[in-house]
Order: sequence, then structure tokens, then C-alpha cells
Amino acid sequence: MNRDIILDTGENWMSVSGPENNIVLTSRVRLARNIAKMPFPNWADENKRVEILNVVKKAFKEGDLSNFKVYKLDDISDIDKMYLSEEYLISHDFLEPRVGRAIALRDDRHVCVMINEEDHMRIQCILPGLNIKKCYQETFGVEQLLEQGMEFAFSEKIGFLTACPTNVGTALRASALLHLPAMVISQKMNNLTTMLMKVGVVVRGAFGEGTNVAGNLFQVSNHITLGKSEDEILENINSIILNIVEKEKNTRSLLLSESKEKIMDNASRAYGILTHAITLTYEEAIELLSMIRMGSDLGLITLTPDLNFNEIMISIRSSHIAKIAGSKLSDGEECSARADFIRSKLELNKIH
Amino acid sequence: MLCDKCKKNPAKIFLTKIDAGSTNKYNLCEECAAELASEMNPTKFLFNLPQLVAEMFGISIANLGENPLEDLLTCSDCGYSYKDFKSTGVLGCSNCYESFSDQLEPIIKSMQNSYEHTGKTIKRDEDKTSNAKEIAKLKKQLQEHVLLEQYEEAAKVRDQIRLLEKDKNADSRQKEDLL
Repeated sequence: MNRDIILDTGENWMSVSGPENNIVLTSRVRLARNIAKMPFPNWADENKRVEILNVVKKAFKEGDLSNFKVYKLDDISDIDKMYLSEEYLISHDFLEPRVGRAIALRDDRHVCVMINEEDHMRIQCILPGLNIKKCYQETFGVEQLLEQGMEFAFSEKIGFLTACPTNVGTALRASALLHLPAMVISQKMNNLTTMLMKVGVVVRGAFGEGTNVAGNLFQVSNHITLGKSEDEILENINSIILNIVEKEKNTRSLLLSESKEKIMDNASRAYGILTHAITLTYEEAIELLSMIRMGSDLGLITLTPDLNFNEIMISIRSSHIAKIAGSKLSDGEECSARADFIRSKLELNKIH
Repeated sequence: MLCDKCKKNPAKIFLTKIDAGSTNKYNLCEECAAELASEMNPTKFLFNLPQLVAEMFGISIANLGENPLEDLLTCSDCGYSYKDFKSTGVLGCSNCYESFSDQLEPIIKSMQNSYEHTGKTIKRDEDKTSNAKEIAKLKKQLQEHVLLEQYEEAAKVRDQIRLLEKDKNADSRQKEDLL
């Protein structure tokens, strides 16, 4: 039976704001853990994967983790699975059904543990704004409680052992989703990406590996997981993100002094299309929203202050639109539902 | 191409030995390569065939690039092969890190710029290390008390140390049982 597990689509958790929220949409931390002496999920047979799931389930039951609910992946409806992946709570690879796959989702949907993804457990926390340290505290708290119920795969020499050697050591990946329109317009992204690679930081499109950059949204994350302590990794990525935010702000000021009229024109045109379009694809909508957002951030166009761009930018993704409509949609239906949704949001927030 | 040694089976393992200035090529079948390796060191052979063959020919394994012998390696715990790791990028179990350590160490070093974990450890170990620290602290105290001829205090500290050391021994016995 497929259950709807996401019921409160009205108030998206993205609507809460966080530090540096104008440029940093969300922060995310992921900790990978495996149970000692058990094969990794890709090599484990069905029985083993079920055994792994049962160990984790038991740990959830016995630890003080009552605000988590465990759902088998097969029991979750397709729309909800996509919805969770659009919120970065589960990975794209995890959508593929496999015996033993399950999630443990905290009631507030900020923390989610994927069970039997690439590793036995992937503990993730996602929060609005720049909030990496808080994200880590949340995941670490869950990890500590889970540890009471199992022995983790660990080596004195190279730390926590993960299915892929790219995660070995701390098994900690910290990332943030950034809106960087000025850096893109000024063609500074390639330089930045190359420079960050050298210090062990990866820049990707909004949906991770191999995805297109749409709406000037970028994911920035640490590449190295071994040889540095958790605090060093967190401190490092946090300061790098602050540095990128600073660069984006400076570039915006520069753009403002050089081509104010152009930015205003782009933002106003974008507003014109979004408030009048009958159908909109995700790619078109996100690009236009990016333009309006920058115009608004720079004070060139004034929208009512309670307009939440972070929420809109996440809510126009396919499954979010389907969830609002209450059923699966064809491509055409989705595009018109998206246009309706954006119109309703923007018409309430006219340019003064 | 036939094997240089038995001249019967097709050669599947190609090794190039580079000495100062000269290059020698060896073409061997799997059987002859294995035989050669086992003659050298039969116990080690079981665990690390490619490393041994490489040593035999005086070449560094990191310079080999494609090494068909590596593909024959399997994890002693879960049976996962190194060949599978090369195609999937993921390992079979946590023990694979041990089984393929000679292959993985250079890969991890180049990926992570390090081969040494400095972050958090698992609980069991944390308890152990904090225990050791506590004992060291108490021993220092004990010395001070003895120097100052505070024998009553010294006896108390000594008892505390004994208690902690008992814990520690119980701990390591438990660990041995697991092994």
C-alpha cells in the first residue's frame, strides 16, 4: 500500500528564515555510518538488507528517537518520494525500489535517515539559511543515539568505513545551496569553481552530480572527509561559504554601479512574464524568479516583504506542484499548475 | 600470444620490468604467474598475488596502471572482488579496506590527501582513551603524594588506579573474545 506521508504542504518548512537567507537557501549535513561485520547494501543480499533494516529499526525504537517514523520505501507513494528528493531529504539514487530500503523521518522533516542507500545509514539534516554547525549537531545527536544500538564499522587508522572510499574517515559531507546570479552574470563562476576545487570544495548544480545549473542555484560541499576533524571540516566549509556570499554581494554592488538599468529591466520583464504566463516549465520559471529575486535583493523593485523566495523556488519543482494539485499531473498540466501557483504568489505581492 | 614460461597457455598477464636504462617484457599465463609467485612465498601469495608478483619483478604496483592480477583479489570476509570495486567504485564490506589495503591506500591518499583519521572515534575507543588519560593523571598524583609523604592520600589514589586498570583489562579481554 502506498501511503501519503507528507500532509502539510500548505506551510513549507522552507518558509522559516535563517542566517544569510538572501543568498544561502539551505544548509545540509550528511553523516554516513555502517554496522560492523555486515556487507554494504550494494553487495548484501535481500535477507541481509532486511537484517540491516531491522537492526536500525530496533535502534530507533530503543534510543530516544520517538519523534522519528520509519517508512519502508515501497510504502511511500511516488509523489511523496519525489517530494522528499526535491527537498534533498533522500537522494535520487534512493528512489529506485530495493528490498530493505527505508527512511526514518523526523516529524519536522528536518532530519531524515536513509537506510540501505549506498551505506547502511545516511543521517541527514537540512535547515534554512547558513546553519551548517546546527545541522551537524542534529545529525551527530541522532548518530549518538543510534550507536547505543549497534557497533559501527570503524578503523583506528582511517575512521568510519563507508561503501565508497570518497566518504571514509569522518564520513561527513556538509553543503549549502546558494543563489549566485551576479557571479553568473559577471562570468566569475568558472574561476570560482576551479579555485574551490584546489581547496577541496566542490561546486555543482542545484540537484547535485551531473545536473544542470538552473536559476543560478549552486550546491557547494566539502570533498575531503579524511585527515581533518569534523570541526575543521565544518569550520572550513562555513568560512568558504561566507566568503562566496561576500563575493556575490560585492559583485552585485559592482553590477549595480555598472548596469543598474539592465538589472532593473531584467527583473521587471521577469515579473511581467511570471504574472501573465499561462504555462511555465521549471527551468523557465526558476531563471525568471532568479532575476526578480536579485532585483528585489538590490532594492531595485519592491515586493511585499513577506514574499518568501526560498519557499517559491523549492515549491515550483515537479512533485511539489503535483502535491499542491493533489494528484499526479501530465507535463502540460504541471506547467499550467506551476504558472497558476506563481501568479497567485506574485499577484499578492505587487511591485509598488 | 603464448606464455613465455610454459609456451602452452595464452599469456594473460603482461609485466614490464624497468631497470636503469633497460626494459624487459614478460608475458605469462595466469597459472605460471601464480606458480612463480607461490614459489617465492606461498603464504603471502594467497593474500596478495599482484603485490608479490610486482615485488618479484622489482616494480612498484602504483606504476602498473592496469594490472590483471589485481582483478583476482577477493575480500576474505565477504568474497567481493577488487575487479568489482574497479567497475562500481563501492566496496563489498568494511573488511574490504583490509583485504585491498595495498590497492586502496594509494587511491585514498590521492583522493583525500591523507590516510589518517583525526576525527571522532567510536564510543568504545573514546572510553578507552579517556580511561588511559585518567590513569596517567592519577599516577602523577600518586607520585606527588608519595613525594610529599601523604601516604593516606596515596593509598586512595592507588586504589582508584587499580579499579580503572581492572576495567581496562576487562575491556581488552572482551575485545580479544570478539576477535
